[in-house]
Amino acid sequence: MWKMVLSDLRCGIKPGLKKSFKRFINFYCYLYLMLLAPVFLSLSGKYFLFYYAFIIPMVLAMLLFTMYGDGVNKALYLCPLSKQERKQYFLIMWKVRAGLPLLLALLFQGALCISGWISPLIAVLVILSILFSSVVLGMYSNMQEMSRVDKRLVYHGAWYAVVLILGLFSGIFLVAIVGDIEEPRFTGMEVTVGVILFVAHALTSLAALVKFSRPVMENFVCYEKVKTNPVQSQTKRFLL
Amino acid sequence: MIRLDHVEKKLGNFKLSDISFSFPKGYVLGLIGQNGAGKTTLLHLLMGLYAADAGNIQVLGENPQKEEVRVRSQIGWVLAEEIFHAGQTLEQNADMYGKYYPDYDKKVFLEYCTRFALPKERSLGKLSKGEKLKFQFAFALSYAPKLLLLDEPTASFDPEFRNEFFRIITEFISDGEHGVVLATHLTSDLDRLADYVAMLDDGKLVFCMERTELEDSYRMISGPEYKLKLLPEGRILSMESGQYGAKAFVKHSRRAVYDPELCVGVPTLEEIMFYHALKKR
Repeated sequence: MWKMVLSDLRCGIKPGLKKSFKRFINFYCYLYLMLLAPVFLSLSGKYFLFYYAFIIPMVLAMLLFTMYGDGVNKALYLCPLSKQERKQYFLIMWKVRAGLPLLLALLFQGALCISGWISPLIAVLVILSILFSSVVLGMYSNMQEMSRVDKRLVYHGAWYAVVLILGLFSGIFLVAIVGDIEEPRFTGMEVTVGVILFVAHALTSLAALVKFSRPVMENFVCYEKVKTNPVQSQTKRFLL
Repeated sequence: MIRLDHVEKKLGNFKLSDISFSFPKGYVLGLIGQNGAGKTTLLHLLMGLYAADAGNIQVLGENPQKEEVRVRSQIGWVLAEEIFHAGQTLEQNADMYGKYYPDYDKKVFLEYCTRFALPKERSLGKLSKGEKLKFQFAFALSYAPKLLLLDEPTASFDPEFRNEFFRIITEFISDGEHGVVLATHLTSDLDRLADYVAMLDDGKLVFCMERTELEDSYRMISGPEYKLKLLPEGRILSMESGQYGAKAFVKHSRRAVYDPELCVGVPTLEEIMFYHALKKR
């Protein structure tokens, strides 16, 4: 099953990138986060590094969501696979899509931590921020189709958007405000805000997981609830 | 081989209503109907991709939803859409999905690729539409299915391959243990192949019967309009008037007697489809 998942991911790169960048809002988000946000946040010196060490895994999580989030090969349903095997496919795909940004986050934050530029606590909090976002975004979600067929999933697109936005703010706050242990830019109120954002992000992500993971998986194993093909997918995205 | 009892399925604004028919092994069932009649929906129900809202479906003696692994491992399919990975070669695609079929034989697949003149090493995305369908057909035959479900494959085949396709289908059912369901607009193909014909119209089953019985059920009659109007009213299903006479599509029975001045002929499947649609309008 791992081979099938990795093959699907590999074959879906080109059409997925085309699909992701086709929507202007996606393209604009990536552009803003990668190029413009550091300018608007007036980041300089080491803070550039801290920022990109956080934002690259986050953008990767967003990219994987828009590339693969709603497309599954119809052959998965035509082949004689049981519901259990399709669940296995779903879980493996989820692990890979959540794991890749997490792996990057561990590498970058680990390197910054080892070099002594950020405190271990901040590194862990940033990694957790990325983990929460990538786990929620890594879930398969054909938002338009699934929210039509299952009342439990009517607003799950909105939840994903909230998790993503909280994740971005939480992470950016952490790195921009309290990142540098030698020269912390702010203390006091800003730190409190950062902690609140982090906690809100964690709780929202946990709630989204508890609320949606089971119905998404139950619907995923049934072709009728999914009905898309990554090559032919015309699904309009909720926000991304 | 296939049995449907009062099957219903609603998809959005479309509904398949009260579909009941059965079809034995060893034969070819032709499924005809206009665009949007429900042919593909019916095939999806037979494959177990959709669950019926009401009624009972039996494919190869089992419910395709409940016994999906066992049923799907014995069904070969050719669908008029992109199924496999465009970036992989034919061999890679076949290897990736073939391993889930217990009777998949790579040697048989490669033999069919050679027979169909398919380039095994080329990636699927670079093939023409007809070649992609040939690949699906080769893959379907490689795991020795009991039933073939074919959704409008022949429109994209060249004339030479179309003959080869008919030969393979005839070979496939020759042992009396296999079956084929062929959904198509090209009724000329069914004239050559089909033993049974089922017609769908706007989600309803118009008829499902043996071809010989179908041919005995209808007649195309042409002649002077006033003579056609003398035919019993209930028998005329549809009539077209022209400058030089009229044509009527009528129900026929063995005891029917026609005016010797009328020209009576057996309608083709295309005419049956056309005049049923005309009757509806």
